[in-house]
Amino acid sequence: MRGQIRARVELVLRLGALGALVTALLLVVGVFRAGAPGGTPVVFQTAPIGAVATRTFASLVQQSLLDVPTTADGRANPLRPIHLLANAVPDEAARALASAARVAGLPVSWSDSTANRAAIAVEVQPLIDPKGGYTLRVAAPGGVEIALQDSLGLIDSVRAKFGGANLEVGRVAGTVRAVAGNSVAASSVPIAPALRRILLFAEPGWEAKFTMAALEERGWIVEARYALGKNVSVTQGAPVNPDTARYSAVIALDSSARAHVAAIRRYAATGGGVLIAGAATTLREFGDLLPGRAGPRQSGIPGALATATPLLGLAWRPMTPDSNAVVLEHSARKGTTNATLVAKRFGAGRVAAVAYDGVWEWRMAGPDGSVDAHRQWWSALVSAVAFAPEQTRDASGIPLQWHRDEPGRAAPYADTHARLGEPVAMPAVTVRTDRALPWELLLAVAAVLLLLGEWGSRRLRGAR
Amino acid sequence: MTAIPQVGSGVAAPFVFATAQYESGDWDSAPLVPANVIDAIARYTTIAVAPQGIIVPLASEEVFRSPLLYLTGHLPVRFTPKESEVMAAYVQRGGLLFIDDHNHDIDGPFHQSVVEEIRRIFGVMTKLPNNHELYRSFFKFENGPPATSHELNGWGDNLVHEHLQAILRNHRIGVLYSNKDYSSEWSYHPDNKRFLSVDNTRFAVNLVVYALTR
Repeated sequence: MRGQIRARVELVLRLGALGALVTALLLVVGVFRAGAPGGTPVVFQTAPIGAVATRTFASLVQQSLLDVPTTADGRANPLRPIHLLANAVPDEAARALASAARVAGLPVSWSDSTANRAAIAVEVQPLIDPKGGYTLRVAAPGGVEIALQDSLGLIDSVRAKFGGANLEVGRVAGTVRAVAGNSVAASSVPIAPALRRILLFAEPGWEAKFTMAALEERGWIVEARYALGKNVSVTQGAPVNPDTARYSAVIALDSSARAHVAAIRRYAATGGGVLIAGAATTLREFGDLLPGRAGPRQSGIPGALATATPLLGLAWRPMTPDSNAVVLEHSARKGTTNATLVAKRFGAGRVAAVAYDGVWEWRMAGPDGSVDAHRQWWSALVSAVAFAPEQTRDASGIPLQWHRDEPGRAAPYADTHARLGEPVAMPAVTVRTDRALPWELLLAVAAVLLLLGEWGSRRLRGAR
Repeated sequence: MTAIPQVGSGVAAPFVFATAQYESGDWDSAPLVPANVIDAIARYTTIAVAPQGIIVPLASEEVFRSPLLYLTGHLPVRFTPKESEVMAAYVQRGGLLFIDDHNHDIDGPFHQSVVEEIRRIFGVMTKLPNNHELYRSFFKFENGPPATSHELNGWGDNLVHEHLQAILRNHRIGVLYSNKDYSSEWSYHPDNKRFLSVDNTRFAVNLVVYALTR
């Protein structure tokens, strides 16, 4: 009796092992998946590993495209859709693959489970400044903490406000990466622009002196020609007619620019940057080169020069912008919204007009730190209009090449939108992750164990 | 004396020659120099210049409205803490302080005391090279600073000083020190220039043009 029971148990073990082996085999060849009804999406989720494993995803796409299920009457069912559940932004390869699958006719959808925390993008822009440096601009939802790294390591971390954050850094190497949780945006560091000289049109005076000093101290090379009498002029550098081949910007401070209006207009039209300040803003000869109309000159607020808002202490001419100009700065005075800085495009170049007059007084009579502030103010104005083409060769004449980023690298979340369309609601199916348990292996192990049990049982009772 | 245009008044102010008034010594030892320099500027250039100079207390904030400041004297000088502080800030911000020893004597009390004061406030002066742009900012002085009649006549220390000395800030002259006694050389009524074969205030024009353009 006991022998019969034992033989039946051994039979059950054998059959169990056989069933496990067959099931594992069927899983390996994909019978169960292929047998799923057409139209039911296969869902891949991108977290917690941060991205869909490209190889798994690729095999799924391939399988979905090749194994077109058929109905009983032989007609092809619709291709099996793929749905990406984006707990984090899919990586570049996965996005490209999904996009290619969509183009090939495979329905690919996605649902955004990042709660918008992954919507980051990064841009690296060189500063138009002789001191060099870069501005790192990060777009991200408010409150998101972003770590900025380059190829040498962590640069800094910033908390996004109002949709992003900016950071100015002196040097960065290789590739800048913005990391927020599982999301990563990356941008290559572009080549610094080629900066040229500045040409100053001014009469000898304190404004000319201190404008030149501020710019030179910042690292700009400034050239000027001062008319000091009939056929007498004093030059700084070797000034020539304004030309984009030599000058990044031209500054006109007073009526001495009158004799050069035609050349300045030509320079701006061909891409040069022009900054018009002080009495030069009233020169009618400039015509439509001026981005705004300067009003009558007004005194500064007495005593304001030595305060935290020294610009209020300077004389100024309120600017009325032209219709095609933009106001870059308004006066901080109470009761007025007049512009103090207006700019517009002129041909291929840019022109800005500054309302302030006698800005040198800020440097000499302003509060502590005025020298630096005055220096940075002038340099920033010049940077705003300067002609600064991309460098093509380095100092030794070797051609420079910059690997431009794919847009999706710098803004992967936006790229996901662009490639996969708007996210949809999560379909009601079982979620498959690329970290699912290896059922095939487990079944094979179970089969081996069952067979071992059956063999052991037979050996213990003396059977072969 | 001319009133300085108010800071921020918006008036395109002409160049105003400013003389520094300090507490010790005799700051007003060369009262005719300003008029003579102003005359030279008006005579040779088209620079708008105020017809009269001004006197600026060295310890006052008014100093910062005159980026070129002339300081001279015969007597020992000891700047007050406030004067020292203002002078240091003035040069750091970009002003040019022209100090001339009215004695033309390297052993004189002004020279000895003012050089010590300069060292205390600004550091050690260096010789200004005789090919410096100051010597070609308007007129050309091939051999550096022009010699004065006081040097050539053997007065004072009986030396012809080959160089001026300077404190440089950001490659610009912040303090220019002369013991050639330009204060005596230029201290006469401008009408009397007609008796000179070569106008000896031409170097003053270079100084003003340099200050206004560099």
